[in-house]
Amino acid sequence: MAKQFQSIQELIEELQARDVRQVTVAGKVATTTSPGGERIAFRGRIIVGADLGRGERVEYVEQIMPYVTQTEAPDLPPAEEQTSQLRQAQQSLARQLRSYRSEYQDIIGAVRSRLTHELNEAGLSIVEPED
Amino acid sequence: MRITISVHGHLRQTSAVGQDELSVSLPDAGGMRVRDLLEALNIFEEELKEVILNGKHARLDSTLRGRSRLEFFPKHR
Repeated sequence: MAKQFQSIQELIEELQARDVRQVTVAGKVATTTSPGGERIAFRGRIIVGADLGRGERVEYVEQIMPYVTQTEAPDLPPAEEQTSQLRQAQQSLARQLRSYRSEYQDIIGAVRSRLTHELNEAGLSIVEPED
Repeated sequence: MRITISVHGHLRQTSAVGQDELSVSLPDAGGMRVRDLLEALNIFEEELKEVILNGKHARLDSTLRGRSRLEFFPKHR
């Protein structure tokens, strides 16, 4: 369980006090859709974290403003309606990804850039989370 | 059905998932397999080295159910 900080500045001060120079920055986005799939809601967060050793970890989580978008749900021909659950699921995934890339990714990218700038200004380098 | 998807290596640049972990809700599609997601994710079967489903090695024919956590690792990283 990571120790959570209320602001990025508090996290930076803790890391500087402990002479930690590297952090990870990871984004997580969750989507929910209305039953018909026309409405897609995005909720995102950016997690800045660092391992301090001996199993100790610190984190700051920036919650990103939720975002809702309307898309045009495809009307499948009636004959296909009952037999195309798989196709509907695939189309739903494609719609969510398309909306994410065209609308929400920029929002989350802007927050990531701001946090990255603050971390770099404080002399911290960002490493990719381990695969 | 809820699927949380993350990708690694160059797939962070080339797939539709990008660098962030995405959790998407989908209508229940009985028998949906990992392979059925690839086209929408813009991932080619040939570029995959490993797929992890709920923390375990999976095949492209593995079925997705309920809440699934899926990770894609490319051959070249």
